[in-house]
Amino acid sequence: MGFPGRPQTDAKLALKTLTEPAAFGELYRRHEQTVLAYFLHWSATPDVAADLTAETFAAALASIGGYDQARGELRAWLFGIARHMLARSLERGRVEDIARRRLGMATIYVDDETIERIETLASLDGAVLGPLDELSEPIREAVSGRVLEEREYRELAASLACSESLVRQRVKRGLARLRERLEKVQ
Amino acid sequence: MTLIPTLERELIAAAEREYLTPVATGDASTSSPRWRADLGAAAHRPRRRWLRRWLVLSAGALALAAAAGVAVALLSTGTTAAFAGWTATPSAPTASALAAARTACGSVPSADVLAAEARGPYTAIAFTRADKPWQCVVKGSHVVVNLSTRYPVRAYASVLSGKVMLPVITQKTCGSAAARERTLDQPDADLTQDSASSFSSYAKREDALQAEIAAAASGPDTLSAAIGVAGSGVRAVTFVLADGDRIQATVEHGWYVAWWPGASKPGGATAVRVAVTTSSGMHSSPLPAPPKIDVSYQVPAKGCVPGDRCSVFVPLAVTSTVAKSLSAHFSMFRDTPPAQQSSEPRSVRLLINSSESTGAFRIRESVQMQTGTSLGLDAAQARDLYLGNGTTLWLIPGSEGVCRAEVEGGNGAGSCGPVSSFLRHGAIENAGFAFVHGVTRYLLGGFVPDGNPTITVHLDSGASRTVPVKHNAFTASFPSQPKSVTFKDSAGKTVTDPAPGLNEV
Repeated sequence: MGFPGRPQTDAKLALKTLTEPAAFGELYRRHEQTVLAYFLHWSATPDVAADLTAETFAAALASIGGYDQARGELRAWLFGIARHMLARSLERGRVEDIARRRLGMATIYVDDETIERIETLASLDGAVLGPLDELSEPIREAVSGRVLEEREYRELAASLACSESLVRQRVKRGLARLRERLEKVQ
Repeated sequence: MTLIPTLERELIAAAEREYLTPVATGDASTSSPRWRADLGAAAHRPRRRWLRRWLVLSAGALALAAAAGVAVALLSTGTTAAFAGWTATPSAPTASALAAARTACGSVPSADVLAAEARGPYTAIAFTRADKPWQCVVKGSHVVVNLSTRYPVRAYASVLSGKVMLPVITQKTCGSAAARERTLDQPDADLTQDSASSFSSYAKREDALQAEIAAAASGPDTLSAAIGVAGSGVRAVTFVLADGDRIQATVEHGWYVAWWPGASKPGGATAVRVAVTTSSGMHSSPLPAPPKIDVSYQVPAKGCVPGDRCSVFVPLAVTSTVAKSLSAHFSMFRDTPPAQQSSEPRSVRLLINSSESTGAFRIRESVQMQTGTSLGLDAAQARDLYLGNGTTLWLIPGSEGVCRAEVEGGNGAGSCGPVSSFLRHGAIENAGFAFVHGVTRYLLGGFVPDGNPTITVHLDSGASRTVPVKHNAFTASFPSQPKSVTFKDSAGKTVTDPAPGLNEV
């Protein structure tokens, strides 16, 4: 089901999900690649990334009624869940399926064709994110947190144990270096 | 085109199961076609239900009939089905039906009626008697069931003040001589989690809902009856059964009532979700697993004939209480501090459901997961601790444990522990870091029992610093991670615990 006309904001789609479930499909389509790319960046394994993506969106769906636009963009909220999923998985050594079981979702089987599509995304992701690995760790963390995860500077500063202004400088420097690198590649 | 199309399809299907529920007071202009279709499906519920029962009870006859059309034709007469004519959508009872119900249910004064509804030929009233809510269903002058809840009206009223409910499952048999209560085998983990979940989904107290469903027997037939309180913001309540049928409740004067044929039938009459419509939209929450009812149980013929004021009833919820030991050893759980002491950075704010904290009420999923066990959390008693770096902690006490949750500015993390641990060690944590005058500072914050006007923080350098404690709470910053913290536990014994590292409690 499509949503013709003026594109709706993520927040509106989130609210609409409560009455029109297809709206969540639209949200999924909008953010699937970014979330997958995020997990690919950390896991580098298509099936694990797909598994984490599925659990992340399931958790988002289960708590979509609690999303509060005043607290930030939906994408940032989604990445908050993604970070949490990743952290839990790393901590426990496995990808959990609590949200999917709670929603009664069927197991998602990732076939070869899907793996291939995700690997393609991984290769694209590598073109964009590869140079990220060449940045120094403090700068990479700042860029990754701000650009990929869309975290607030204040939050980043607290988690990185440095000032907001320093985080801003690191993000700025990191992006400049990435731009330089991409221009050379092109 | 998505990369994982099967996931998209599964998510949409899950969203349909989770949220697609009719809204009783919805505006037709905002109703989707699918939504209206579901309302239509609900209206046909009795026929489908009794068809199913007939198929079960008369499988042999069905095989002989060899045609489903025959079965439907037989059932459509409704002559053999109990609760024939019952409807999933209630209507207002006529004045004469209401008067008859009040008389049949024990001469209920009109002033004591909380809510009334009609479902086909049945009239149901909810009323108060001897400070307890009652729910009575009649057909004409014949009483089908007349149920009283176990808890007084004031217990239900406390739900609207923000109490989180916990399951207390009892079964009471009919007949004064044989009356007994027993605890049923009830999985309780889900309800605790569900209660937290549904509470957190409503940011405003006026949107709170208490769900209580009783399984009742009327002769050989069973029914499910739901009664409870709803906040002033609740516009509609709909119960979703395991078989997908939807039962719209009547919401009146802060109460709701509903009933439907059948009880605790796996995959059938069991209510699995409740959808609540408020001014801010609709939210659907899972209900706890139903209590098990002994299917061989029959209402005794003597002493409990239909029309008598006795039935089997199974209340599902009661408000929780915070462990007495917590309030005994933590003044913060006894006192009612000012709504807001200070908004200055690094000051301590202790709030009890002020408009500020209620408005921001959220228990993140991470906390809910960890509180799935029966900690008996009472979110209404949560205390705030502002840590000075933009992070606000909530300390949520319960009957069995205490949880902390970062609700503002943090990463949504949370942790829980048993009451005994809290009494012994308090809750001390690294609250992150602050950047003060160009220098990064380590933030230490937390809660310690009564008898600690100050705590002593030991630094790596060998020096120590005294930190004042207010309402059991403290926060302070240091140039680096301190070595340990000394304070007195709830028994008055001096304890020295290592200072936690980042994200440690």
